[in-house]
Amino acid sequence: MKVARLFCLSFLFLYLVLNLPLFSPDSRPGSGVAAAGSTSVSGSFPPKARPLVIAIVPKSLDNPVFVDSMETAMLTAKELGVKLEWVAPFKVDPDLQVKIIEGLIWRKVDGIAISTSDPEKIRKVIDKAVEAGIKVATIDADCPESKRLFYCGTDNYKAGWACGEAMVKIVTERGLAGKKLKTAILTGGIEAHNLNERIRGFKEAVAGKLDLEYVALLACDDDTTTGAKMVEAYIREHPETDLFYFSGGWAFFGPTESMPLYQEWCDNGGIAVSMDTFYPVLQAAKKGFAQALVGQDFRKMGELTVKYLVDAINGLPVPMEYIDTGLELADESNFDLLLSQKKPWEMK
Amino acid sequence: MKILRAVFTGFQNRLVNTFKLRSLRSKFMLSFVFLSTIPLVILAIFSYGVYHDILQQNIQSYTSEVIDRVDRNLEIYLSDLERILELRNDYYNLQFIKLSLAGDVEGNRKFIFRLWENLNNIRNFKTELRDVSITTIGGVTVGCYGVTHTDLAQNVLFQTLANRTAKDDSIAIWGPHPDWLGGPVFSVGKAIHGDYDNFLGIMSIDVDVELLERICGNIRLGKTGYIMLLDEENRIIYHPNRELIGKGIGALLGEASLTDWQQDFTTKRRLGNQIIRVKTFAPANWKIIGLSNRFELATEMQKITGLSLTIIFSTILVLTLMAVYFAHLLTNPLKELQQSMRHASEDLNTNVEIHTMDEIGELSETFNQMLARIRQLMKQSVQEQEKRRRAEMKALQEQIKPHFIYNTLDLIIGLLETNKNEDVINTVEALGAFFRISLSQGQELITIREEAEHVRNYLYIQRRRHGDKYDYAIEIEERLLNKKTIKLILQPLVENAIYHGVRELETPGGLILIKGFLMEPANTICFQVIDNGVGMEPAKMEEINRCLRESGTGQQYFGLSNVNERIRLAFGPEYGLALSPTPGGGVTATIKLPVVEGKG
Repeated sequence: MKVARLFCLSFLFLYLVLNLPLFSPDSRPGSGVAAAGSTSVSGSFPPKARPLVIAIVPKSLDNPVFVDSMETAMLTAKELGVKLEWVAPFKVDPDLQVKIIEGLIWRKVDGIAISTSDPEKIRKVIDKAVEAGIKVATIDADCPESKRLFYCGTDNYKAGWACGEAMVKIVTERGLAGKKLKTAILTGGIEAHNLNERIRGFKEAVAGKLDLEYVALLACDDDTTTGAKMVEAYIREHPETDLFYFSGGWAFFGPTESMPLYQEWCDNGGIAVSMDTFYPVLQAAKKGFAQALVGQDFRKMGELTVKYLVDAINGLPVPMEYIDTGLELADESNFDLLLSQKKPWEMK
Repeated sequence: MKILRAVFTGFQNRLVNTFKLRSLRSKFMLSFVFLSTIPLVILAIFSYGVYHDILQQNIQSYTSEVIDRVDRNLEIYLSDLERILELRNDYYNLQFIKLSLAGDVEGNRKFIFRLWENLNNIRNFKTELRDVSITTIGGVTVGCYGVTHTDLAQNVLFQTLANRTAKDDSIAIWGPHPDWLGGPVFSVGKAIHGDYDNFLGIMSIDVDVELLERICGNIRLGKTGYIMLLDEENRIIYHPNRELIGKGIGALLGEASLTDWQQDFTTKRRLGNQIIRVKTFAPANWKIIGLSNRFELATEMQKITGLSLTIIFSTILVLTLMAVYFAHLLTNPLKELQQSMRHASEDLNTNVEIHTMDEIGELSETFNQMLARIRQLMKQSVQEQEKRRRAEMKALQEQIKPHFIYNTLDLIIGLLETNKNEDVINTVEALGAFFRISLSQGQELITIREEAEHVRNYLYIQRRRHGDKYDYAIEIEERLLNKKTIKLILQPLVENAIYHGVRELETPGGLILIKGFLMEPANTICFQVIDNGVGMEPAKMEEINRCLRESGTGQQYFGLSNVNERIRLAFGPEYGLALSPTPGGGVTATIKLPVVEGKG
């Protein structure tokens, strides 16, 4: 083990030396302005002797679910003496996400962790980064069949299954299990692998136990305001809906006062189960906007992703390819407890 | 003046010889073409010069205007960015910087989240903005794409602003350079200072160089001229040909051209085909360069020249055709007239056909009138010649009156009977001389000497016949004797003086005086046959004179009329015969003749 560590440190030293400006052809100061319109340019950000740089690329910046991950990732990075960059499109935009990852490849960061907004589009750039010698992981939303080193996040199928089980339990308790129930689903991006896995888990969990008729699949592109508006609009048009499954808690990130029709629907017996146990989602659930919640551990996601990425960069083995950060189940019994343990976001 | 005239004459002769300007038509055509072409050519040359100058001036002023416009647009854009950068002292910005520098990750998360939103909102103001960011002196950058780390030593914008004093609050520009996504941008930034003017970081805006394309791309200086931009190191930051962006200007226009490009609006002509105007965009120390192609100017001028030459040659062609037509119009009647004149020289009965009412028409008419007059005169001349011949014949017939001959022969017989041989000889000699002079070998004009001799012979014979009833004298000035006169003009007058004057006297003492003298002032020869005979009734004399004035009116007084007629036919109506009474009785017949010099 000692020999292995020595080997790794020697390799790291050699790598850093080779990347010194003196040896790098790209390190010449003012090495010219790129041809306009070309994406491949000679850099004025030459790699040189510097701390490790790790970049985490969430789906978007405007989604506050990642704030906890960012915080723990930054703290972990600080602790490990590496620089952490948190870069993403402001709103979900797979194409721009690809561009950003390409920018990171060009800048030769040491590691990248990506929350995949569209696996089909992101897969190629992940492979490109890996081929460029960058350690690449996925966080929160995986990109299957890519060359990424590991995935760190929730087991989304399990999360969906947990939501399904919670739904079965509530419906059964209300004595509606034998009835055909009209069910609507709110998701983020139609192509998002993690969300689709949650929906799949949900559907398979209720299958055979409840008679659900899936009447709508609403996609809000991970936008909190859009999520709330879509739900409100849908309920206005279809008050006869019986159940609502939220594969993410976007609709409840904002003030609940903006959803009076939905609140009325809930008061009239509408049943809702939602992913996420963030502070605002718990607050909304406590008001009756959802009867059960299944949470993810974003803090752990940030922490473990940075840790294992640094390990991987340093040549240390990653314990497993699929790092499950676990689930947090919430219902009326522990809403207050969880609220007392979590911090409000205070961002909007 | 003489020299000028000589030169002109020389030129004229050379012109005539060179172009063989023998005919009026070719002279007219050449003059017409010359007179119409020369002003055209002068106008074309003058217009060419003026147009060339105006065109060049227009190109230069248009280029300057365009450069000014680019300068203004960049300035306006920059002032907009400057206004945006005033947000740098926003509470959230300052809080982020302070917490970031303090390493407070947990406390900063809400500010980071807020800043992402704010900075993205700002970026959406303008389409060319690629990123809006805050960079702390710790190297942490929060921008539209999240949180990154900046190598401050490599960030020229940061270094520029960091090295300024807090009082210097102006903007700084860096680039174009690749941003962290790899795209070419130029960055505009302002320093952020803390409460004690301590430098905390910068707020910067990355602008896509597409902006330069938007500002300069649509500008065309002529067909191939364009605008390009250089950074302060004379590297091309905008050029319509994207491949040239990033290269040094020296590669494009030659190294030598770089030296004096510091001043605004310098026109350079030494680079062959290009007219170059330069202006420095002061805030970024960029150079805005307008390149117009002189070749286009030349092409434009070639077009104008081509057009001018086409117009000139077309005009010359049209004018030549017109000249040919007009020359034909003008000279054809002249040719016709010439031919008619040639005909007329052979046949006076020809007339010119008149087609026009112009000067040539008038000339033709005058020529026709002249021909008519010539015909009339010829006819008159023929008539007069005829008349003269008849008059002469009559005069001769008068001379050879049978009874005059019989009487003379009787006289000779009488003299022979009386043996006056000497008288016979004289008489025969006189008679012979009389007839010899009468015939004069067919000559019309004889000397006055011969005429006097003729009348003397006649008087000699008649006096021999009539005895001493009258006497005669001939007084002709000596100087007139060799002058010429028509013949046989005195004899009929003498005959009248004898038969109607002195022979009628009842007593002897008649005298016939023949005088010949020169009337000096009028240069007229005057003959007078003066008799002191019985004279004539004034009325009769008046009637005879009237008959003589109105020549050819009567057959009375044939002898006198014949003399008068012949004189008038020979010398004109101002000459002739007139009778007047001789003071003291008798008749004086006066003949006026012109002085006609005899040969020798």
